[in-house]
Amino acid sequence: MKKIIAAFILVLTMAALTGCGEKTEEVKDVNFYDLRTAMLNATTKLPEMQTASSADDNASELLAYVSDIDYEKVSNFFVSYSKEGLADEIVVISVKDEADAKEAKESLQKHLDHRKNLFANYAVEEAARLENAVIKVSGRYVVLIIADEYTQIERAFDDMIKEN
Amino acid sequence: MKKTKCTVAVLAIVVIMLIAGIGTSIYFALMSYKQMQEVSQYITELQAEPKEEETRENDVKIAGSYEIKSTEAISDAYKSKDTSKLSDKERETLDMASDILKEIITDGMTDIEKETAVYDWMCANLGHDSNLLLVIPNGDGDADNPYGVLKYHNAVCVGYATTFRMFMQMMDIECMVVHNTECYHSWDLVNLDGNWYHTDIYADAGHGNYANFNVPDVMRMREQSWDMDFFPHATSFKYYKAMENLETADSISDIPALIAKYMGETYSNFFIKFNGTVDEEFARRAVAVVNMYSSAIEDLQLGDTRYYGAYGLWVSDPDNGGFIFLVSITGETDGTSYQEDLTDDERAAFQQKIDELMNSLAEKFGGSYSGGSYYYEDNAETYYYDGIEGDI
Repeated sequence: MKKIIAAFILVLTMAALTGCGEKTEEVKDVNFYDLRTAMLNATTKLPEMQTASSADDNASELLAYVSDIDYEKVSNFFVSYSKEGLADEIVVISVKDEADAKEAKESLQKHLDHRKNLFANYAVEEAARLENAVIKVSGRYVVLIIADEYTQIERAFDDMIKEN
Repeated sequence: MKKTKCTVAVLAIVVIMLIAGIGTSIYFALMSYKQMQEVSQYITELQAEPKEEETRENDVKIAGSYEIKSTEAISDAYKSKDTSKLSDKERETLDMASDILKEIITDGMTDIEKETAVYDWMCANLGHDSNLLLVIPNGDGDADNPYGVLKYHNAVCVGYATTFRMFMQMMDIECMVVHNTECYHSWDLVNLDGNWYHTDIYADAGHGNYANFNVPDVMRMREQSWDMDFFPHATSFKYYKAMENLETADSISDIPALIAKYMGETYSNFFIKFNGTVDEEFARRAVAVVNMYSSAIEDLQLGDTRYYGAYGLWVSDPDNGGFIFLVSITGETDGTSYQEDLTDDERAAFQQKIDELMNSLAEKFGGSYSGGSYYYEDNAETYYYDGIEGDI
């Protein structure tokens, strides 16, 4: 009888340990530098772009310009945007937990609405370009693309994520 | 004995189960009540009308980043010559502003002359701050307050509006900073001889063509919306620039010659006072003629002026009485064409006038006109406008 109880406790302990182990496992992202390079090089029609990313010292402050998601939930991100204040912009955020992807997507939608308002008031000729903006979720990754050749950039994103 | 013990044990189990059952029921009943209360509170909150924030002039954030702040401490110090209550930054602002006024204002100037002098100086000397449209701005720049604007000569709309207001208040001219309903743009309302006018220097900066200088509500409403219950109404046309171009005409056939006269001029809006009776049909036919020009001149860039289209607007003249007809050849039409009010022959005759005008403009400004399209010298059909729009 004692042996049966001991075996039962052992099984329970193992199960508990396995469960905990899964929760603490680190999420593995695609290399964000490679991802950014692939997306920016997918078209020749982007203007001169400037980039901020999770590699920067003040990364959480920089992300706040495009997303109000809690930085604790973010694994990696980059924001590439036109140096001249044109509409062109690419943002990719990867979240640690896939369940937070929806929140990240909503935050990018809010950012896009803000940009639309800005351009409608201050650069009407650019405003129409924001109508073709793409926001999509792929697993733990959320992407925003505002560019003329957005389909090519989106394909580059898909290819990189698939390879990962 | 054994049977009694067993009966007691069974009874005890039943009692325990009953107590546990009653306890559980009470617990769940209490929980349900608590949850019902929470749900009820949630529904009440959902149903409650969202509290509308009261409109105010200052302490308003524009485009989520730029704050409209009062500068009355600086203008009061200018008037009282007491700078003891100013911070170092405010004192520096006052010094810069005083030097500018010394340069552009002379004794005996009227309020409209003073306002024009400030408008001209700001349009000629200040540029648009490029940070406004950047996803992540470079540094802070102080582009939304007179200190940064006068020091670095770069401004966002809030910078233009608060700097202009500060100049006006320094000269004792009543002035307010207005913001639009969406809180994405701001400009000024200035009081001249007891009447208010809209002035948006941000929109005219760089060219200073007076397109947004001393504009009444009725024109401003075509481009912006704002809280008209809070801000004073601008009903007078007295200092509206288009009134300086007040023309008289006998019939709608005179309109093409007048449009031709003003196309290509720095300021190209004008009013027409028609001789004779203006009835509803006449009013529609006049609008129809102006609308015919809209598609021909849409997005046309001639010199420093960009033409967005054309529209005609009948307004009652609050200063002189009667109706006058505003012809704007820089503003967008509202889409009501009234073309059915013109006969086929009339439309053909007006189209010929339009073609003549476009050909003469092509000759004057370079380019060519054919098949209803204007081609620039580089043969581009559509003009690509690089940079921040001027018409907001």
